[in-house]
Amino acid sequence: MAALESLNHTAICVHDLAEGMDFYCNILGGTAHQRSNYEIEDTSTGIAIFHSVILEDYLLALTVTANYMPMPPDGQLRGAHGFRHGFCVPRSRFEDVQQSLAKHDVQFEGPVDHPEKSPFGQSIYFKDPSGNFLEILWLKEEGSQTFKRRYIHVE
Amino acid sequence: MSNSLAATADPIADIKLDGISHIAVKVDDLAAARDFYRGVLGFSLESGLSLPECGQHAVLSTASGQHVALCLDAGFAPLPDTGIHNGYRVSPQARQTILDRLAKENIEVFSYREIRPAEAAENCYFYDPSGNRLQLVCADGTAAAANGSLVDAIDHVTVQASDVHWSEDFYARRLAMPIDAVVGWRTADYVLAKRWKEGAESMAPGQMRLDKRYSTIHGTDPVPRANMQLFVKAGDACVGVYLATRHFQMPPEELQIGTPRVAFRVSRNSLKAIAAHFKETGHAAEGPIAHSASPQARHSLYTKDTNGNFIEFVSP
Repeated sequence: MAALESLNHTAICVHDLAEGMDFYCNILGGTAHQRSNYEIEDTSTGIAIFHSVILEDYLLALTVTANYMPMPPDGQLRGAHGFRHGFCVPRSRFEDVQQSLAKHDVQFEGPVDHPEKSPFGQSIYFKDPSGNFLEILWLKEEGSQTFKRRYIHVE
Repeated sequence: MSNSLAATADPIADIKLDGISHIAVKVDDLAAARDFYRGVLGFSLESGLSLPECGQHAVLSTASGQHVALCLDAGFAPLPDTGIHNGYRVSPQARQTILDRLAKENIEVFSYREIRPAEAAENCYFYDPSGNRLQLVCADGTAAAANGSLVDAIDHVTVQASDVHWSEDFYARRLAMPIDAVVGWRTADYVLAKRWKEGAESMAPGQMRLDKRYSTIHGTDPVPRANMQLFVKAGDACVGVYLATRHFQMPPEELQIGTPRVAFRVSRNSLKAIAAHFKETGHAAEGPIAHSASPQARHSLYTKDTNGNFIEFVSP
């Protein structure tokens, strides 16, 4: 059995890297980490065309698709377009996140209450500009070891 | 792959590049080039003007007062399969006049699908007698009447880079040149590349390329992709940085003056600030050197960008 430790990073597909990096860095507060296809060596090895961004302790590689992807309906804010990424924030910052999204005209659904026995408190749901579904939530037991922290080591 | 987005040096404080002062273009036959640029493109010949560090050359001027120095290099070999070219801005009327003259001279004109929005309208390309690729960018110019030149201005020049990240750091961050456009960041670019491979789109050399698949994936056909391009502004002109598709020979490290070269127009204070920055950061440069080319060009600072392209900063 493969003794997997944790999820390390995700490559998600986007239609526009500038638009994607603006969304994840300037609206969600991520940090630009790395980008490909700027050097001859990248072209000679045919590496994927991506920019990576670190959100809290997780790395997303925004990868440009060679073809247009089917987009979820405009009005659908909650769902899984193949998958959905859920990120945690402390409960004290949950309101700030909503204000930031509203300030940048990012539509979201929620806050939605989770069941009483769920480790989650509330969630909001929205999409990035390429239709990738996202969720931001707060945990009832902040600082607990319920979810092991990931480490980032991607080269 | 670029290892990080870390900057190499702080931006230069309080500087501004006002535009392109002149470009130095290599030609292998000076007389033929002079005749072509005057007779076909309608540049004005500045017979009394000599620009420093251009070797044996002839100076032409656009209606806006920018100069093009045709510099003799008998061994010059153009790079026709790369993105290297110079774009000149002309009015629709001037464009037609030039096209008529090209037809009369039996010079083939090419039209391509453009990715950079500013070049989309009525673009056309052709080659000068030395094999330099030229582009006409159509604009409603009014300056052409001023000195009789058909060409309003230098619209853009292009250089190659083995690492566009370094170019972005140098031009966009350290020299504070605003980014005009980036090619290779959008799905639309790759959809276009696919159409190009299928023969459904005609693209200028250097715009698209065929990559082999990621090195661990064997036996698959080359993948069509957009070639990375970065366009940065200098006044109303642009410098286009094209990712080179193969490694190229760079000038010797100790050589700071050469051709081809693009010269940026800056104020005296900006020139001093740029020179001080290069000295402080160890970026090799020569100058500022005083000369008397014209009242607008009395001091020059020579250097290379981070990919070995010769550049110059010119101030009054």
